[in-house]
Amino acid sequence: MAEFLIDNRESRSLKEKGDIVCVRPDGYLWSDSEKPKVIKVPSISYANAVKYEQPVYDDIESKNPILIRHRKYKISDTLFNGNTLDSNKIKSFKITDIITKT
Amino acid sequence: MATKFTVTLQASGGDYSVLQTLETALDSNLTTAVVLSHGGITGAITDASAVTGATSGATGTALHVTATQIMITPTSGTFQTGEQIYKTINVNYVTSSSAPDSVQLTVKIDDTWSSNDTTALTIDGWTTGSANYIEIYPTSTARHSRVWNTTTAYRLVTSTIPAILIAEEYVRIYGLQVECTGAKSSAARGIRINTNNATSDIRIIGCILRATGSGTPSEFCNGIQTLSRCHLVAADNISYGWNNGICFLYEGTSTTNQIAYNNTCVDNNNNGIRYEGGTTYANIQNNLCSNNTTDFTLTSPDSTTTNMSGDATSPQTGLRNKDAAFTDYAGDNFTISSTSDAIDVGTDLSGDSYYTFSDDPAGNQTRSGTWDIGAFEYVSVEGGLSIPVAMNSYRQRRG
Repeated sequence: MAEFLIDNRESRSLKEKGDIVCVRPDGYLWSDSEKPKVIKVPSISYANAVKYEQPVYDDIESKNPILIRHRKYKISDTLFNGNTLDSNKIKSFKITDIITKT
Repeated sequence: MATKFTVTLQASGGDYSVLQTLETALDSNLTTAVVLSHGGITGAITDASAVTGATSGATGTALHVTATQIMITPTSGTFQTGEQIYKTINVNYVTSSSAPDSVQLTVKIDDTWSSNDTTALTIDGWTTGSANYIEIYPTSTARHSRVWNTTTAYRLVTSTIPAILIAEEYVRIYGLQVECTGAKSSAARGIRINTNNATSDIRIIGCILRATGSGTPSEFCNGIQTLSRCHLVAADNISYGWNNGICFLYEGTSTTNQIAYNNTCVDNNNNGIRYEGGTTYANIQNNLCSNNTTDFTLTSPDSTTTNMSGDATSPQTGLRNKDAAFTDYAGDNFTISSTSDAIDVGTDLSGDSYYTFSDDPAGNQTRSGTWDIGAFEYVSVEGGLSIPVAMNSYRQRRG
Protein backbone atom coordinates (compact mmCIF):
# COMPACT_ATOMS: atom_id res chain seq x y z
CA MET A 1 0.00 0.00 0.00
CA ALA A 2 1.14 3.49 -0.73
CA GLU A 3 0.15 7.07 -0.12
CA PHE A 4 0.63 9.86 -2.66
CA LEU A 5 1.01 13.54 -1.90
CA ILE A 6 -0.65 15.53 -4.68
CA ASP A 7 0.03 19.08 -5.82
CA ASN A 8 -3.26 20.81 -5.01
CA ARG A 9 -2.33 24.27 -6.28
CA GLU A 10 -3.33 25.67 -9.62
CA SER A 11 -1.02 24.68 -12.46
CA ARG A 12 2.02 26.91 -12.85
CA SER A 13 5.24 26.78 -14.82
CA LEU A 14 6.20 23.11 -15.15
CA LYS A 15 3.96 22.01 -12.28
CA GLU A 16 0.37 20.86 -12.78
CA LYS A 17 -2.49 20.58 -10.36
CA GLY A 18 -2.79 16.87 -9.58
CA ASP A 19 0.91 16.07 -9.98
CA ILE A 20 2.10 13.20 -7.81
CA VAL A 21 4.73 15.06 -5.80
CA CYS A 22 5.90 12.23 -3.61
CA VAL A 23 5.10 8.68 -2.63
CA ARG A 24 5.43 7.15 0.80
CA PRO A 25 4.51 3.82 2.39
CA ASP A 26 1.07 3.45 3.89
CA GLY A 27 0.91 4.94 7.36
CA TYR A 28 3.68 7.48 6.76
CA LEU A 29 3.74 10.28 9.32
CA TRP A 30 2.73 13.30 7.24
CA SER A 31 2.71 16.77 8.74
CA ASP A 32 -0.57 18.58 9.34
CA SER A 33 0.13 20.79 6.32
CA GLU A 34 0.71 17.77 4.10
CA LYS A 35 -2.31 15.67 5.07
CA PRO A 36 -4.83 17.69 3.04
CA LYS A 37 -2.84 16.78 -0.07
CA VAL A 38 -2.44 13.04 0.56
CA ILE A 39 -4.45 10.22 -0.98
CA LYS A 40 -4.41 6.48 -0.38
CA VAL A 41 -3.57 4.05 -3.17
CA PRO A 42 -3.88 0.61 -1.55
CA SER A 43 -3.66 -1.40 -4.75
CA ILE A 44 0.05 -0.84 -5.26
CA SER A 45 3.10 -1.55 -3.16
CA TYR A 46 5.35 1.31 -2.14
CA ALA A 47 8.25 -0.21 -4.06
CA ASN A 48 6.22 -0.24 -7.25
CA ALA A 49 4.76 3.21 -6.62
CA VAL A 50 8.00 5.15 -6.27
CA LYS A 51 8.27 5.52 -10.04
CA TYR A 52 5.26 7.86 -9.97
CA GLU A 53 7.30 10.67 -8.47
CA GLN A 54 9.60 10.94 -11.48
CA PRO A 55 10.20 14.27 -13.24
CA VAL A 56 10.55 14.44 -17.01
CA TYR A 57 13.79 15.60 -18.65
CA ASP A 58 14.58 15.73 -22.34
CA ASP A 59 17.75 13.66 -21.99
CA ILE A 60 19.00 13.09 -18.47
CA GLU A 61 22.32 11.71 -19.67
CA SER A 62 23.21 14.80 -21.67
CA LYS A 63 25.47 17.65 -20.55
CA ASN A 64 22.60 20.02 -19.90
CA PRO A 65 19.32 18.14 -19.41
CA ILE A 66 16.22 20.29 -19.75
CA LEU A 67 13.39 19.80 -17.26
CA ILE A 68 10.23 19.33 -19.31
CA ARG A 69 7.69 18.60 -16.59
CA HIS A 70 7.90 18.56 -12.86
CA ARG A 71 6.16 15.21 -12.82
CA LYS A 72 5.35 12.54 -15.35
CA TYR A 73 2.24 11.32 -13.52
CA LYS A 74 -0.82 12.99 -12.04
CA ILE A 75 -4.28 12.36 -10.63
CA SER A 76 -7.22 14.14 -12.19
CA ASP A 77 -8.58 17.15 -10.30
CA THR A 78 -12.06 15.73 -10.01
CA LEU A 79 -10.90 12.51 -8.43
CA PHE A 80 -8.48 14.22 -6.08
CA ASN A 81 -10.85 16.88 -4.84
CA GLY A 82 -11.62 16.35 -1.16
CA ASN A 83 -10.59 12.69 -1.05
CA THR A 84 -7.58 13.31 1.11
CA LEU A 85 -6.13 11.89 4.27
CA ASP A 86 -7.57 14.63 6.45
CA SER A 87 -11.12 14.32 5.14
CA ASN A 88 -14.00 12.20 6.34
CA LYS A 89 -14.48 10.52 2.98
CA ILE A 90 -11.17 8.89 2.17
CA LYS A 91 -11.36 7.28 -1.23
CA SER A 92 -9.16 4.35 -2.20
CA PHE A 93 -7.52 5.29 -5.44
CA LYS A 94 -6.54 2.73 -8.05
CA ILE A 95 -3.64 2.51 -10.43
CA THR A 96 -6.07 3.22 -13.23
CA ASP A 97 -6.73 6.64 -11.67
CA ILE A 98 -3.15 7.66 -12.43
CA ILE A 99 -2.69 9.67 -15.60
CA THR A 100 0.51 9.49 -17.60
CA LYS A 101 1.14 12.92 -19.03
CA THR A 102 2.11 13.19 -22.66
CA MET B 1 16.06 43.67 2.54
CA ALA B 2 13.34 41.14 3.04
CA THR B 3 11.81 39.41 6.03
CA LYS B 4 12.82 35.86 6.77
CA PHE B 5 9.92 33.42 6.57
CA THR B 6 11.01 30.30 8.41
CA VAL B 7 9.39 26.93 7.85
CA THR B 8 10.48 23.73 9.54
CA LEU B 9 11.15 20.37 7.99
CA GLN B 10 10.99 17.56 10.54
CA ALA B 11 10.36 13.84 10.51
CA SER B 12 7.43 14.62 12.77
CA GLY B 13 5.89 17.75 14.17
CA GLY B 14 7.22 20.21 11.60
CA ASP B 15 5.54 22.27 8.92
CA TYR B 16 6.56 19.63 6.38
CA SER B 17 8.26 16.23 6.39
CA VAL B 18 9.44 16.01 2.77
CA LEU B 19 11.63 18.71 1.25
CA GLN B 20 9.95 18.45 -2.15
CA THR B 21 6.44 18.84 -0.72
CA LEU B 22 7.62 22.06 0.88
CA GLU B 23 9.04 23.26 -2.44
CA THR B 24 5.78 22.50 -4.20
CA ALA B 25 3.68 24.21 -1.54
CA LEU B 26 5.68 27.44 -1.45
CA ASP B 27 7.03 28.02 -4.95
CA SER B 28 6.21 31.58 -5.81
CA ASN B 29 7.59 34.97 -6.69
CA LEU B 30 9.48 35.80 -3.50
CA THR B 31 9.95 39.40 -4.59
CA THR B 32 6.19 40.03 -4.64
CA ALA B 33 4.97 37.50 -2.07
CA VAL B 34 4.64 38.96 1.42
CA VAL B 35 5.20 37.74 4.93
CA LEU B 36 3.45 39.09 8.03
CA SER B 37 3.85 38.14 11.66
CA HIS B 38 0.86 37.07 13.73
CA GLY B 39 0.08 36.02 17.28
CA GLY B 40 -1.48 32.64 16.60
CA ILE B 41 -3.92 30.82 14.35
CA THR B 42 -7.61 30.58 15.15
CA GLY B 43 -9.15 27.62 13.37
CA ALA B 44 -7.11 26.47 10.38
CA ILE B 45 -5.78 27.99 7.19
CA THR B 46 -4.59 25.21 4.93
CA ASP B 47 -1.92 25.77 2.30
CA ALA B 48 -3.12 27.56 -0.83
CA SER B 49 -6.23 28.96 0.86
CA ALA B 50 -7.75 32.20 -0.42
CA VAL B 51 -7.49 34.86 2.29
CA THR B 52 -8.79 38.40 2.79
CA GLY B 53 -7.71 41.28 4.98
CA ALA B 54 -10.72 42.31 7.07
CA THR B 55 -9.69 45.98 7.24
CA SER B 56 -7.68 46.51 4.08
CA GLY B 57 -9.87 44.37 1.87
CA ALA B 58 -6.68 42.96 0.36
CA THR B 59 -6.90 39.46 -1.07
CA GLY B 60 -4.40 36.77 -1.82
CA THR B 61 -3.42 33.13 -1.51
CA ALA B 62 -1.95 31.98 1.78
CA LEU B 63 0.84 29.67 0.73
CA HIS B 64 1.54 28.62 4.29
CA VAL B 65 0.91 29.67 7.86
CA THR B 66 3.39 28.85 10.61
CA ALA B 67 2.78 29.39 14.31
CA THR B 68 4.07 32.95 14.02
CA GLN B 69 4.04 34.00 10.35
CA ILE B 70 1.86 33.89 7.27
CA MET B 71 3.19 33.93 3.69
CA ILE B 72 0.82 35.27 1.06
CA THR B 73 0.86 35.77 -2.67
CA PRO B 74 -1.23 38.95 -2.96
CA THR B 75 -3.93 39.21 -5.56
CA SER B 76 -5.20 42.71 -4.85
CA GLY B 77 -4.69 45.48 -2.32
CA THR B 78 -2.14 45.66 0.49
CA PHE B 79 -2.46 43.73 3.73
CA GLN B 80 -1.75 45.73 6.84
CA THR B 81 -0.72 45.28 10.42
CA GLY B 82 -3.38 44.78 13.07
CA GLU B 83 -6.02 43.28 10.84
CA GLN B 84 -7.67 39.92 10.74
CA ILE B 85 -6.47 37.95 7.73
CA TYR B 86 -9.06 35.30 7.26
CA LYS B 87 -10.03 32.28 5.27
CA THR B 88 -13.42 32.36 7.00
CA ILE B 89 -14.03 35.54 8.95
CA ASN B 90 -13.95 35.09 12.72
CA VAL B 91 -13.49 31.33 12.24
CA ASN B 92 -10.25 30.60 10.40
CA TYR B 93 -7.88 33.53 10.69
CA VAL B 94 -4.76 35.19 12.04
CA THR B 95 -4.36 38.76 13.24
CA SER B 96 -1.33 40.39 11.66
CA SER B 97 1.18 42.08 13.92
CA SER B 98 3.53 43.50 11.30
CA ALA B 99 3.36 45.26 7.99
CA PRO B 100 3.86 43.05 4.94
CA ASP B 101 7.37 42.62 3.59
CA SER B 102 8.89 40.61 0.76
CA VAL B 103 10.14 37.14 1.56
CA GLN B 104 13.47 35.50 2.18
CA LEU B 105 12.57 31.85 2.61
CA THR B 106 14.45 29.84 5.20
CA VAL B 107 13.91 26.11 5.48
CA LYS B 108 15.08 24.95 8.87
CA ILE B 109 15.56 21.20 9.02
CA ASP B 110 15.27 20.10 12.60
CA ASP B 111 14.97 17.15 14.93
CA THR B 112 16.40 13.69 14.34
CA TRP B 113 15.80 11.60 11.23
CA SER B 114 15.59 7.83 11.50
CA SER B 115 14.56 7.46 7.85
CA ASN B 116 15.77 8.95 4.59
CA ASP B 117 13.94 11.62 2.64
CA THR B 118 13.66 9.65 -0.60
CA THR B 119 12.16 12.22 -2.95
CA ALA B 120 14.48 14.23 -5.18
CA LEU B 121 14.34 18.00 -4.79
CA THR B 122 13.61 20.16 -7.82
CA ILE B 123 13.73 23.90 -7.17
CA ASP B 124 12.01 25.34 -10.19
CA GLY B 125 9.26 27.83 -11.00
CA TRP B 126 10.23 30.48 -8.43
CA THR B 127 11.25 34.07 -8.77
CA THR B 128 14.11 34.77 -6.40
CA GLY B 129 16.32 37.81 -5.85
CA SER B 130 19.48 38.87 -4.09
CA ALA B 131 17.45 39.65 -0.94
CA ASN B 132 14.70 37.18 -1.73
CA TYR B 133 16.67 33.97 -1.73
CA ILE B 134 15.94 30.42 -0.63
CA GLU B 135 18.05 29.07 2.19
CA ILE B 136 18.03 25.49 3.40
CA TYR B 137 19.95 24.38 6.44
CA PRO B 138 19.80 21.76 9.18
CA THR B 139 20.08 22.64 12.84
CA SER B 140 22.79 21.02 14.91
CA THR B 141 20.39 18.18 15.76
CA ALA B 142 19.67 17.37 12.12
CA ARG B 143 23.13 18.01 10.74
CA HIS B 144 25.91 15.56 9.96
CA SER B 145 29.16 15.81 11.87
CA ARG B 146 31.29 15.88 8.73
CA VAL B 147 30.95 12.13 8.24
CA TRP B 148 27.90 10.48 6.64
CA ASN B 149 25.30 9.90 9.32
CA THR B 150 22.66 7.21 8.73
CA THR B 151 20.88 7.37 12.04
CA THR B 152 20.00 10.89 13.13
CA ALA B 153 20.97 13.54 10.56
CA TYR B 154 18.77 14.58 7.67
CA ARG B 155 19.70 12.81 4.43
CA LEU B 156 18.26 12.99 0.96
CA VAL B 157 18.74 9.56 -0.60
CA THR B 158 17.14 8.99 -3.97
CA SER B 159 17.49 7.07 -7.19
CA THR B 160 16.09 10.02 -9.14
CA ILE B 161 18.64 11.91 -11.23
CA PRO B 162 19.63 14.50 -10.20
CA ALA B 163 19.05 14.26 -6.47
CA ILE B 164 18.76 18.05 -6.37
CA LEU B 165 18.13 20.37 -9.29
CA ILE B 166 18.52 24.09 -8.70
CA ALA B 167 16.94 25.99 -11.57
CA GLU B 168 16.63 29.31 -9.73
CA GLU B 169 19.14 32.09 -9.32
CA TYR B 170 19.39 32.70 -5.59
CA VAL B 171 19.59 29.53 -3.54
CA ARG B 172 21.78 28.59 -0.59
CA ILE B 173 22.10 25.04 0.66
CA TYR B 174 24.05 24.29 3.80
CA GLY B 175 25.01 21.06 5.50
CA LEU B 176 22.85 18.52 3.66
CA GLN B 177 23.69 14.89 3.09
CA VAL B 178 22.85 14.01 -0.50
CA GLU B 179 23.13 10.53 -1.94
CA CYS B 180 22.16 9.54 -5.45
CA THR B 181 21.56 5.79 -5.80
CA GLY B 182 20.69 6.07 -9.48
CA ALA B 183 22.94 4.32 -11.97
CA LYS B 184 26.28 6.08 -12.25
CA SER B 185 26.41 4.87 -15.81
CA SER B 186 23.24 6.93 -16.46
CA ALA B 187 24.76 10.20 -15.28
CA ALA B 188 23.64 10.11 -11.66
CA ARG B 189 24.14 13.57 -10.20
CA GLY B 190 24.12 15.02 -6.71
CA ILE B 191 23.37 18.73 -7.02
CA ARG B 192 22.96 20.12 -10.50
CA ILE B 193 22.70 23.86 -10.97
CA ASN B 194 21.09 25.22 -14.09
CA THR B 195 20.48 28.94 -14.11
CA ASN B 196 21.04 31.54 -16.79
CA ASN B 197 21.45 34.66 -14.75
CA ALA B 198 24.91 36.20 -14.73
CA THR B 199 24.25 37.81 -11.37
CA SER B 200 22.94 34.64 -9.76
CA ASP B 201 24.18 33.61 -6.34
CA ILE B 202 24.16 29.90 -5.63
CA ARG B 203 25.90 28.61 -2.52
CA ILE B 204 26.50 24.97 -1.74
CA ILE B 205 28.22 24.85 1.61
CA GLY B 206 29.19 22.06 3.99
CA CYS B 207 27.33 19.27 2.23
CA ILE B 208 28.28 15.63 1.89
CA LEU B 209 27.56 14.27 -1.57
CA ARG B 210 28.02 10.67 -2.55
CA ALA B 211 27.13 8.38 -5.43
CA THR B 212 26.31 4.78 -4.66
CA GLY B 213 24.54 3.58 -7.81
CA SER B 214 25.65 0.88 -10.19
CA GLY B 215 28.02 1.00 -13.12
CA THR B 216 31.01 3.06 -14.10
CA PRO B 217 30.29 6.79 -13.80
CA SER B 218 29.51 8.40 -17.11
CA GLU B 219 30.86 11.81 -18.11
CA PHE B 220 28.20 13.90 -16.39
CA CYS B 221 27.87 11.85 -13.21
CA ASN B 222 29.01 14.66 -10.93
CA GLY B 223 28.63 15.50 -7.25
CA ILE B 224 28.13 19.21 -7.88
CA GLN B 225 27.70 20.28 -11.46
CA THR B 226 27.24 23.74 -12.82
CA LEU B 227 27.60 25.53 -16.12
CA SER B 228 29.94 28.41 -16.89
CA ARG B 229 27.03 30.83 -17.02
CA CYS B 230 26.20 30.33 -13.34
CA HIS B 231 27.70 32.02 -10.31
CA LEU B 232 28.44 29.32 -7.75
CA VAL B 233 30.25 29.17 -4.45
CA ALA B 234 31.04 25.60 -3.41
CA ALA B 235 32.78 25.48 -0.06
CA ASP B 236 33.48 22.95 2.67
CA ASN B 237 31.80 20.12 0.78
CA ILE B 238 32.83 16.47 0.79
CA SER B 239 32.17 14.74 -2.51
CA TYR B 240 32.94 11.12 -3.38
CA GLY B 241 32.00 8.29 -5.69
CA TRP B 242 31.17 10.38 -8.79
CA ASN B 243 32.86 10.94 -12.11
CA ASN B 244 33.88 14.42 -10.93
CA GLY B 245 33.47 15.50 -7.34
CA ILE B 246 32.84 19.12 -8.34
CA CYS B 247 32.52 20.05 -11.98
CA PHE B 248 32.35 23.51 -13.51
CA LEU B 249 31.32 22.77 -17.09
CA TYR B 250 32.03 25.16 -19.93
CA GLU B 251 28.83 25.94 -21.78
CA GLY B 252 29.78 28.64 -24.24
CA THR B 253 28.47 31.60 -22.26
CA SER B 254 30.62 32.95 -19.50
CA THR B 255 29.67 34.76 -16.34
CA THR B 256 31.51 35.81 -13.24
CA ASN B 257 32.53 34.24 -10.00
CA GLN B 258 32.84 30.51 -9.77
CA ILE B 259 34.36 29.65 -6.46
CA ALA B 260 35.60 26.41 -4.91
CA TYR B 261 36.99 26.79 -1.41
CA ASN B 262 38.03 24.12 1.08
CA ASN B 263 36.30 21.16 -0.51
CA THR B 264 37.42 17.56 -0.06
CA CYS B 265 36.94 15.34 -3.11
CA VAL B 266 37.86 11.68 -2.93
CA ASP B 267 37.42 8.50 -4.95
CA ASN B 268 35.94 10.12 -8.03
CA ASN B 269 36.35 8.25 -11.27
CA ASN B 270 37.66 11.19 -13.26
CA ASN B 271 38.52 14.38 -11.38
CA GLY B 272 38.24 15.56 -7.83
CA ILE B 273 37.64 19.10 -9.12
CA ARG B 274 37.19 19.88 -12.79
CA TYR B 275 37.07 23.43 -14.09
CA GLU B 276 36.64 23.76 -17.83
CA GLY B 277 37.19 27.50 -18.14
CA GLY B 278 35.01 30.14 -19.75
CA THR B 279 34.31 32.07 -16.58
CA THR B 280 35.27 35.70 -16.12
CA TYR B 281 36.49 35.04 -12.62
CA ALA B 282 37.19 31.60 -11.16
CA ASN B 283 38.89 31.07 -7.85
CA ILE B 284 40.00 27.64 -6.64
CA GLN B 285 41.53 27.65 -3.16
CA ASN B 286 42.28 25.34 -0.25
CA ASN B 287 40.79 22.24 -1.87
CA LEU B 288 41.95 18.75 -1.00
CA CYS B 289 41.67 16.10 -3.70
CA SER B 290 42.96 12.61 -3.18
CA ASN B 291 42.48 9.13 -4.64
CA ASN B 292 40.67 10.41 -7.70
CA THR B 293 41.85 9.19 -11.10
CA THR B 294 43.07 12.75 -11.67
CA ASP B 295 42.77 15.04 -8.67
CA PHE B 296 42.62 18.41 -10.46
CA THR B 297 41.85 19.39 -14.04
CA LEU B 298 41.73 23.17 -14.11
CA THR B 299 41.60 25.17 -17.33
CA SER B 300 43.09 28.60 -16.69
CA PRO B 301 41.34 29.66 -13.49
CA ASP B 302 42.01 33.26 -12.47
CA SER B 303 43.26 32.40 -9.05
CA THR B 304 44.41 29.25 -7.32
CA THR B 305 46.20 28.97 -4.04
CA THR B 306 47.07 26.12 -1.72
CA ASN B 307 45.23 23.21 -3.31
CA MET B 308 46.58 19.81 -2.34
CA SER B 309 46.60 16.65 -4.40
CA GLY B 310 47.60 13.06 -3.84
CA ASP B 311 48.86 12.97 -7.40
CA ALA B 312 50.87 15.45 -9.47
CA THR B 313 47.97 17.65 -10.60
CA SER B 314 47.67 20.34 -7.93
CA PRO B 315 48.27 23.76 -9.49
CA GLN B 316 50.68 24.37 -6.62
CA THR B 317 53.78 22.32 -7.22
CA GLY B 318 54.67 22.25 -3.55
CA LEU B 319 51.36 20.61 -2.70
CA ARG B 320 51.52 17.70 -5.14
CA ASN B 321 51.83 14.03 -4.22
CA LYS B 322 50.85 14.73 -0.64
CA ASP B 323 49.31 12.42 1.93
CA ALA B 324 45.86 13.50 3.12
CA ALA B 325 46.05 10.91 5.92
CA PHE B 326 42.30 10.56 6.25
CA THR B 327 41.04 9.32 9.59
CA ASP B 328 39.35 6.25 8.08
CA TYR B 329 39.58 6.21 4.31
CA ALA B 330 38.01 2.75 3.98
CA GLY B 331 35.13 3.83 6.16
CA ASP B 332 34.52 7.06 4.19
CA ASN B 333 35.64 9.20 7.09
CA PHE B 334 37.56 11.91 5.26
CA THR B 335 38.41 13.99 8.28
CA ILE B 336 42.15 14.36 8.51
CA SER B 337 44.42 12.79 11.09
CA SER B 338 47.40 14.28 12.87
CA THR B 339 49.88 13.21 10.19
CA SER B 340 48.00 14.85 7.32
CA ASP B 341 50.00 17.06 4.98
CA ALA B 342 46.91 19.30 4.77
CA ILE B 343 47.40 20.70 8.24
CA ASP B 344 48.41 24.36 8.54
CA VAL B 345 49.23 24.90 4.87
CA GLY B 346 46.01 26.56 3.72
CA THR B 347 45.19 30.16 2.92
CA ASP B 348 43.24 32.25 5.41
CA LEU B 349 40.00 33.10 3.61
CA SER B 350 38.26 34.74 6.55
CA GLY B 351 38.44 38.11 4.81
CA ASP B 352 37.52 36.81 1.39
CA SER B 353 35.40 39.20 -0.63
CA TYR B 354 33.48 36.50 -2.51
CA TYR B 355 32.37 34.26 0.31
CA THR B 356 32.30 34.78 4.05
CA PHE B 357 32.62 31.50 5.86
CA SER B 358 30.83 32.83 8.93
CA ASP B 359 27.64 33.12 6.86
CA ASP B 360 26.80 29.47 7.46
CA PRO B 361 23.64 29.58 9.61
CA ALA B 362 24.50 26.26 11.24
CA GLY B 363 27.78 27.73 12.43
CA ASN B 364 29.78 24.75 11.37
CA GLN B 365 32.49 26.37 9.31
CA THR B 366 34.54 28.20 11.91
CA ARG B 367 38.29 28.03 11.52
CA SER B 368 41.07 29.45 13.60
CA GLY B 369 44.80 29.88 13.41
CA THR B 370 46.53 28.78 10.25
CA TRP B 371 43.95 27.22 7.99
CA ASP B 372 44.13 23.61 6.86
CA ILE B 373 43.33 22.47 3.34
CA GLY B 374 40.07 20.67 2.66
CA ALA B 375 36.71 20.58 4.39
CA PHE B 376 38.16 19.91 7.82
CA GLU B 377 40.23 21.95 10.18
CA TYR B 378 42.29 19.79 12.48
CA VAL B 379 43.03 20.61 16.08
CA SER B 380 44.61 18.58 18.82
CA VAL B 381 42.67 18.83 22.05
CA GLU B 382 43.43 17.94 25.63
CA GLY B 383 44.40 14.37 26.27
CA GLY B 384 45.72 13.86 22.80
CA LEU B 385 42.32 13.27 21.29
CA SER B 386 42.10 14.98 17.92
CA ILE B 387 38.90 16.06 16.24
CA PRO B 388 38.08 18.34 13.38
CA VAL B 389 37.72 21.92 14.56
CA ALA B 390 34.42 22.14 12.76
CA MET B 391 33.01 19.55 15.12
CA ASN B 392 34.74 21.14 18.07
CA SER B 393 33.34 24.56 17.33
CA TYR B 394 29.96 23.08 16.67
CA ARG B 395 29.88 21.38 20.05
CA GLN B 396 31.01 24.49 21.86
CA ARG B 397 28.34 26.58 20.22
CA ARG B 398 25.46 24.15 20.38
CA GLY B 399 26.30 22.19 23.48
